[in-house]
Amino acid sequence: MSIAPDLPTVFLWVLAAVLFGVAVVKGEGRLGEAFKATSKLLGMVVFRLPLALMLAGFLSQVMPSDLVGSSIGAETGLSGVVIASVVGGLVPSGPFVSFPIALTLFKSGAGMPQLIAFISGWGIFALHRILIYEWPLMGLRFTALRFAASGLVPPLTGLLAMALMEVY
Amino acid sequence: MPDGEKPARKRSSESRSPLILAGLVGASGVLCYFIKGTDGVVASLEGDLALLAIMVPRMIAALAIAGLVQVLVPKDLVARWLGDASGYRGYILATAAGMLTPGGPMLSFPLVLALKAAGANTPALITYLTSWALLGVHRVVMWEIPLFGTEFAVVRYLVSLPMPILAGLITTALIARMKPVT
Repeated sequence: MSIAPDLPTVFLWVLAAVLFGVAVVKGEGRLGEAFKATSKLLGMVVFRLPLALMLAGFLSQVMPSDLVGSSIGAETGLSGVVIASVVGGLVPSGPFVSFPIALTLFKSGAGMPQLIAFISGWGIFALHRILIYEWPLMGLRFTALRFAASGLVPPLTGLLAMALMEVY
Repeated sequence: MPDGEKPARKRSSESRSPLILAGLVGASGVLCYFIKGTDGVVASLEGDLALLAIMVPRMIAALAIAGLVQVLVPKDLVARWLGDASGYRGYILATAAGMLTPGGPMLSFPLVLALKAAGANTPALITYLTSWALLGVHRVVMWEIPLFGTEFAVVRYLVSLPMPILAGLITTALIARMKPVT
């Protein structure tokens, strides 16, 4: 395993350095305050991040990822949309994994509304993102609230796409 | 938004969540052991270590950004544009910001955290996250158009366009319902 700095990491550090510079120039104890705020965040994350990574890792081991293809064809309608929304949310990785999976589903006959629901489901729910970032950083209450508020969004995008295609 | 009203209660739920997390880790680990055996557990833990080596430097930078943004962005400005009184303007601004935030969750979530500390309200933050998740322009350009074509991308974008504001409105309604109870 190599620890060569990758592009996102470099980008984040450059951004941090620029903000650090601004804080130095603006002065008035801002740097100390920022340091305090950052340490507080660090204290929140330090235990949760390793746990969250372990959970995401175990879950991706036990998840059956290649069961889906045929169950979300264009003829599956609403049920396919719902399945695709849920399965999209279970994809335990970033766009480098989710979009290739979506392409495989596309080629194996997934319908357009179902695929749209899949991509929305991944965007809204992506389990690893909730486990690694949202829960540790924002807390359980915020995470639950966002879940409740946007839970219907992925199927809704699929349904809207179905309606749109009907009109055409 | 009653975020600041019940600090005692919030603190207890915050200190509880690592325990819940640890319980889930145990349960999923046992499940993994029964399905994939020792090899599966070891492979999973090795993968975690590799990921941790990537994540730690990113996380430190991201948290430094979050801390600095909290201090540098004037609170009254955030409160005015994304706070409780911001109304529809807040939703629209949050949607636009989500569309334009590049990169993955290691940038968007620390940003949300910083905005929250600076006085943005929860509906605006959820609108922002929904917009970032569904309407992020960088993802459309990098992934969607090359893989699925422009027509697919346009249809998906159209049907997703109202969703961030919808999620924000639902959040507002949920919080309003919760208020009498808490």
